Amino acid sequence: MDKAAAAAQAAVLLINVVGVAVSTVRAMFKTSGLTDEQINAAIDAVIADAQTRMADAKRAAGLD
Amino acid sequence: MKSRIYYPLYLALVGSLALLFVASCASVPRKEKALQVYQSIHASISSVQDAERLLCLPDATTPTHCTSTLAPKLGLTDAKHVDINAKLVKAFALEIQVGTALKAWRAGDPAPHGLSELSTVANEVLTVASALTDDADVRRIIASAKALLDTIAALTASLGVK
Repeated sequence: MDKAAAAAQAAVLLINVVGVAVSTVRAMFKTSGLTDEQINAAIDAVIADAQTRMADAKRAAGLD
Repeated sequence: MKSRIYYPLYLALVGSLALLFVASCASVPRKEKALQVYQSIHASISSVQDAERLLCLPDATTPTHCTSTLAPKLGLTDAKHVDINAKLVKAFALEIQVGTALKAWRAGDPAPHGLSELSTVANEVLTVASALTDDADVRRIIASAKALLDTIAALTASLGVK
């Protein structure tokens, strides 16, 4: 293998390695797409159900 | 000469591995993970409530009284039914407190307040339920209370705080 061919092969390998690394890093940081507002809205939905259930529990505990 | 050609490749490999290591340690979308765990906490508390209600079958007009004939046989007296529900009131109140804190949570913040108190309540429910006679419905209450304890610990872990 001459010098030019070896250099070309090294360059291709380098591009591939860096490409895979970048893709992996991007995948690691990727979220399912929920924004902070959407997360908070989902928490609000849970809280609303918890409030309803707490009212039921209060009645069952004779606290209402 | 050959080693000089491959030098950038070695450098890139080492650099990429270092980058991967850093990425694996870096902050992931913690709040989103915490949301999933928070939903599991709610599901566990709700499951305790549903299982207890199923065993007790309280009447709508007398919610503190169990109508089920099985309940007293398993040791679920009206007093224990009231006691468990009083603990559930605490559990839901703490869950709401944690949820409110979670909404405002940002990376670097401590764990939301109320988690340790919620663990205490879950343990209290577990103690009351464990004293009942062994039965499928009772086991469901116990399993839900245990799952609640596990998910409380998981919430702290998902936020990456101690």
